[in-house]
Amino acid sequence: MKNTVQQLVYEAKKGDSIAFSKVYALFSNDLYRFAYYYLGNSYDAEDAVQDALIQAFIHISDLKKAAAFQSWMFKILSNCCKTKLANSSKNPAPLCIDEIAELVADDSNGEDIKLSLELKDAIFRLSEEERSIVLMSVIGGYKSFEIAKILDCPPSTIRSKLSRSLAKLKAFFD
Amino acid sequence: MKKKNKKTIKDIKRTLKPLDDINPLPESLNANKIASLLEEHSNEKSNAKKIKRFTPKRLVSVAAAFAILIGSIAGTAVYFDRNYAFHKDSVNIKTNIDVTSYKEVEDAIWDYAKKQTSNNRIRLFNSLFGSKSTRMNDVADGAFGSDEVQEERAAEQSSNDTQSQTHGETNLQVEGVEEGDVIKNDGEHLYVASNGVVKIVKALPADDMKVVSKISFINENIEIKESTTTNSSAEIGAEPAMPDFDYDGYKYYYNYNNINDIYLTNKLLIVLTSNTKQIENEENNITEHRNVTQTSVYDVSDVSNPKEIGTYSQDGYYVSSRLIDSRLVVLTNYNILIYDDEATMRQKAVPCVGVSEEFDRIAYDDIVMMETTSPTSYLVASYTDITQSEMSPDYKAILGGGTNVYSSKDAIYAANMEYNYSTSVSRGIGDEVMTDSVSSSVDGYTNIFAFSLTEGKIEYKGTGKVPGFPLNQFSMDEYQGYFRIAVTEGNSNSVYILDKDLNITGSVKDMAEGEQIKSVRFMGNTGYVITFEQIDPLFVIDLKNPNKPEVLGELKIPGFSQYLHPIGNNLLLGLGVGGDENGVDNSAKISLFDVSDSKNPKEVDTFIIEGANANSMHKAFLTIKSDNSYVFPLYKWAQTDYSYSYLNGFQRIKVEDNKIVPLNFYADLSTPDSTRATYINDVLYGIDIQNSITAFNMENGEILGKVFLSA
Repeated sequence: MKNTVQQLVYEAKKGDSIAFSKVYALFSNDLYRFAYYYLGNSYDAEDAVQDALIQAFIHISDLKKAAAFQSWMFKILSNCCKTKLANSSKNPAPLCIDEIAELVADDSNGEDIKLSLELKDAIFRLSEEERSIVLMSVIGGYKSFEIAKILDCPPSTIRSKLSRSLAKLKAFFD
Repeated sequence: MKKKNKKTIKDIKRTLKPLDDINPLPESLNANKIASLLEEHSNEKSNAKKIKRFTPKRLVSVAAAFAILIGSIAGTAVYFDRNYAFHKDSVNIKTNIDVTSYKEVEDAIWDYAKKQTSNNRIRLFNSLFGSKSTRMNDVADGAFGSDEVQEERAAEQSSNDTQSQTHGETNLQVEGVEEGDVIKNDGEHLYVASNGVVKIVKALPADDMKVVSKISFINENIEIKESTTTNSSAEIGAEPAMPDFDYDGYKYYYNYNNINDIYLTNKLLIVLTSNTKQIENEENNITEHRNVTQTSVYDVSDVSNPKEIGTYSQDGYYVSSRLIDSRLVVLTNYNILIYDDEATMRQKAVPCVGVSEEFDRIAYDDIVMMETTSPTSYLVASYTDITQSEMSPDYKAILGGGTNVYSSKDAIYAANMEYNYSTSVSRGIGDEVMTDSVSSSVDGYTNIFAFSLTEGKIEYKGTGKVPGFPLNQFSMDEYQGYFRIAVTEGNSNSVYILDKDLNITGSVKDMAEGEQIKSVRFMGNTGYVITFEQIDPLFVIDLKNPNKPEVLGELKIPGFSQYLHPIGNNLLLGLGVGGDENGVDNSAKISLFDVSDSKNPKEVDTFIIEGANANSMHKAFLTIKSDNSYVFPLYKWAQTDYSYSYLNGFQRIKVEDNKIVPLNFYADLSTPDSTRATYINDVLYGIDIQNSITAFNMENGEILGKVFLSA
């Protein structure tokens, strides 16, 4: 029997946690990176992804189309990130890796990593909504109309917000 | 999309890539870890940075979420009586009946399954909740009547201390009962379980550390495979795998083999992995995934060429393990998914075990059925002398046995928490689904199942029961034939003493009403319990008279300790969180308690680190025997303009004349995490389990060398 995503989602709906985690494994990196750049640190990102997966697993029966699993997962994750950020203002979690920048100077990649970190901070300075849209576009690879569906917004709004956010980030490269 | 947007997106991707490369998916988010998390998400042994404690409140919210789920499947608004769901529905099985056939077990489970499937499909609820309802608390202790042996071991240990060569060892709850960990140290080499691969690292000289061999437990995909062939180091166990499936033109391979723990004893390396067996059933078109725990033993007398001696497997996800002399106990939890179809249900009713490639049902006379527990999971135990050339584990499985474990030298205890919900919950479906705020209190009790461990045999001994729930492995202990357990019971806390037959002989109740236990340590006839709500009381409990234990002394201080480490007989070192009369703050607090006068415990010194978090996992706490100093991972926070950053490293302290003396803080700033520290002679090794090992000069903190684990 073919082991397809649909089949795995079907098994996951029956409560098979391993089938669920197999589907998750297809884009686990993307989910983690989304949360990482959204929240700014790996600790909160780990938490947010875990919370999102637990919620998704609990509510997987609400998912109508197996093919929509990925965007559905992004939707849950962006909500979890939002909650996480709201709750973490009082109790700042440590930022991973950020101290590295100057210290990896001897590393051949040192300069590049430093640049990455600066861009990461630039992304973090966007508003939450802008950040969410940019990350779905950059990491999730979604088009404006897809992001609109995920965030329940008119596509035109997403388009203009994406353009504006990217313009802000473009300044970084100039 | 506009062209310039596309270009910017491309630029962003390119610029972030170097960071993404050094910031891989955390191990806790690996697919198989997630599978376990979903099965038992309170089991968070590796996530000590952010300490998530299991609390009954948290459980309630999970329970509520599941209750809602059932409602949404049924498509109606829910009025859900928890008592009904949890207990009234369970099958009444006779107490510990001797099982005489598989049919008996299958019948009990099928009876149960029928009820579930006809009853608003509680199937899913039970299969999920059954695993979440229990949190593992494993405990090791000296055994019934094994005090002599312990003394011998202590003597042995101290004679080792006098040798000039010293090296770090895993911090154990009890001498002589070895606990697995992600790193082991033999005085020359470090054995590190990193991302599914055990790496053996030549640790000396410190400025020239090398990975000398690797044992891979990953279903490696071909790309990874090719990149490692250029490495000259020995590698065994990795075979090119078939892709798990094609999707959108990509081939996917799964890395499901996760290393839970490793042990090192007498040149033998034991690796406990969680594997996934995928079984395709052509008949009913079901792909079945089995979570199997495998134990592999390697001869590492030649570290550059580890040789596999044997393997054995058992159904279920990993719960815990202990190594006592050469005998290894491995415990797993096998969840029974409830199926509508009788044939499938019967087939799944019995867990499988086996040596090497054999994998078959556990013998029916090794199954123990319990009374009044819902038969939704088994506790599966294997007991093996790993020095034998042919592995021949003895197995036992308790149906309804749950997942909580306690192990001693010749006895092992499985504790299973049963929850009663005193209120019913009414919930609608819709947007409100996840925002439940159930205020009902949870009470319940803990069943303690005992097995004896004799020569090559593991036998079921009996069952005890106490109200309330233990916090962690340090909540349980055994001394001179009596079993002690500290529990949070409703809104209060208690300590119970049980005899050999697991009958309660005495208890101390009503400690710190409205608070919860934060740490426990038993030392001989005395128990120390720390609770917390705003001000942290340390209770000293006299356990000498098993019929009448009593609170001797009490000390109130701000903050609370999450790990208590005994120093001699009169001092306790506490690692935890600082605070004031209003509660905790963001500081790490190290407390030194003088408990020489039991009636009047004193906090004789503190070491407070502002904006920091000390890792209070007992396995991360290192004792340096040569000078009796201690090392633990510490994270310090710092605020920059628009974000927070932190510094991670290892703090070393010493206790002298009832004072805490802070020594070096060892930090390698290019390392994202500090998981464990260990040492060989005067070199301290800071280990980031996913990335690298850094060697420090113990005296001045200077970095001597570094080896990457990612290669």
